[in-house]
Amino acid sequence: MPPEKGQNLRRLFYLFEEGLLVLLVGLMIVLSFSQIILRNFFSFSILWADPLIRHLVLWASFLGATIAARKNKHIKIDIVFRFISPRHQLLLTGIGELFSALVCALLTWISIEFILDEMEYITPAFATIPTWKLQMIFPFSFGVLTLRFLYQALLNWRGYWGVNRIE
Amino acid sequence: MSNLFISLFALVGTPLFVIIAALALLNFYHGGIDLTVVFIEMYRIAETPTLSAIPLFAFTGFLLAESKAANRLVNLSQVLMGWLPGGLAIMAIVICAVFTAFTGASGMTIVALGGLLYPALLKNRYPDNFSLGLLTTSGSLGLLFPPSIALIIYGIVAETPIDQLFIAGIIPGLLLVGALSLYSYFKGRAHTHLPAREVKLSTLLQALRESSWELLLPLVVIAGIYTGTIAVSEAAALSALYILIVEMAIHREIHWRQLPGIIRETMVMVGGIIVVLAAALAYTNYLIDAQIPYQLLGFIERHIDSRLVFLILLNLFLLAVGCMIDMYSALLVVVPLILPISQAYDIHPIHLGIIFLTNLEIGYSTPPVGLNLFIASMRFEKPVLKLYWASLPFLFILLGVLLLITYVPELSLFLLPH
Repeated sequence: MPPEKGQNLRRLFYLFEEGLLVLLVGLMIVLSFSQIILRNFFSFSILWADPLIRHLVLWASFLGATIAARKNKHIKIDIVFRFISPRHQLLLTGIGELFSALVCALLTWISIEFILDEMEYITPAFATIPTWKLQMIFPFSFGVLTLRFLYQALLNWRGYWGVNRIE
Repeated sequence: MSNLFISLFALVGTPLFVIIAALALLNFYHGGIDLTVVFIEMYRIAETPTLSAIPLFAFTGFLLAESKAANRLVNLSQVLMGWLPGGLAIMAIVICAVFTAFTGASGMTIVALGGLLYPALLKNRYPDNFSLGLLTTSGSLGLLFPPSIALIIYGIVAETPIDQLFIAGIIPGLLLVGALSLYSYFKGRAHTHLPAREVKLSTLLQALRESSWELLLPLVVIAGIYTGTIAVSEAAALSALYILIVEMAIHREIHWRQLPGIIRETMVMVGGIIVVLAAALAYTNYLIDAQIPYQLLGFIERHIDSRLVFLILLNLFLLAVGCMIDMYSALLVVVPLILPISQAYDIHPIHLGIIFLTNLEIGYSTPPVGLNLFIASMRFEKPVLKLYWASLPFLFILLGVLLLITYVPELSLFLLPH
């Protein structure tokens, strides 16, 4: 694939991720607000709104977590990094990211098994939506996270060896 | 052994949720338990009632940070408190505390307010070290005030009512702010020479009018939660919508084109916390299954028999944790371990929450590795060593208050309904 086409594809995916995120959070606010209004002024509430809001939080959070990987914003203990040179940070970060990719790959696989289990005994989460559909966010997130960590590990190592050559 | 091996990866900057999830997987595997249990636990995220308060309050905080609300507040405080020795410094502490309550100690307070408050303090002739120390330590002050995300997380993990935690945090929080304010008052009296200027009523009114919209928010939110009119998650939704309207339609400081970016930044932060929560739910399930907290309790009970000694050790332990690990991970991983133990020592779970957060709050600015020190070092372009020295007097004061909060549980508990 030519590099430009790869860039475009990636941007399109970013756009998808962030568009979905805006939609989820927007819906979260609107639904929560209408619940307050309905309950206080009309003594009425939408039965499926609360579980839906909680699932919106789940989805938006896991989507946020996948984006956090490419923004390098995951919570980590980086005490060691406060004391070593930027170049060695690249090497170590790469090792950590490779490990993350492995764990996320494992999680992706397990989450698919989990969903296959759930599909056998279908339980509705709310309204008529079965839980397994709502749990699809797990394989999606962990799948994307696997690829992202792998890609970043490669980038960091390339940076590490690249700097090495210039020295 | 392999547990230790996995934990080693934490030191090379592996995201914590990966470490915790890996530990959970490993131990479930050793225990012969089906690994899909990890996702049964993670899916419990969607069953946690108050959880939507976290993204919604965080969104409110990020909106406030993006707008010029902080400028308006600083302006108002200069008019209001300019006459008092240390007035500006005191207001800086208060504004930082309010800001942190909304944004969590994500370093945003130092980054967003530092650029505004640091030059203002220097211009008013506060010593350089004093100003730096003040802004560094204030970066995590305010975690005890509503709608602190840290308190919400503690409530979720410890299964403690969040509205009661919000009430319990008030007096300890005010003590921390008050102690630093008193110090600022004396520093201000010694160093700043106030021009005897009169504040015109019209200036005051204008400054008040400019920030009135934002000032209304904490009042409504806090009154709503305390009187029980609205639930915590509803207050969060109202705040988000209210501030959205104020900053977009009234002040017109946020354009709708900025919204996707703000939402993304919010959810990146919140998502980062929630995946740790998800992984921690799975890991805690293993810990309890393996009865680790009880083994730990047995060990501790054999060696420590006084409540006082336990509290001292707890403080030291938590300070070290707060200094090394991010606050949210600390809450998620350590609370399930400590909670049953502290109950054996007759420590009220709400009091424990307040002790926990105060410790973590102070740990954030504790040398050698407290996160605030490094954020401030980047923000103000000063060597970390200088910030160690600058924060020291503030840390001593905060530690003094910490002792008070720890050993006088009534400070946290007496406002609670009996």
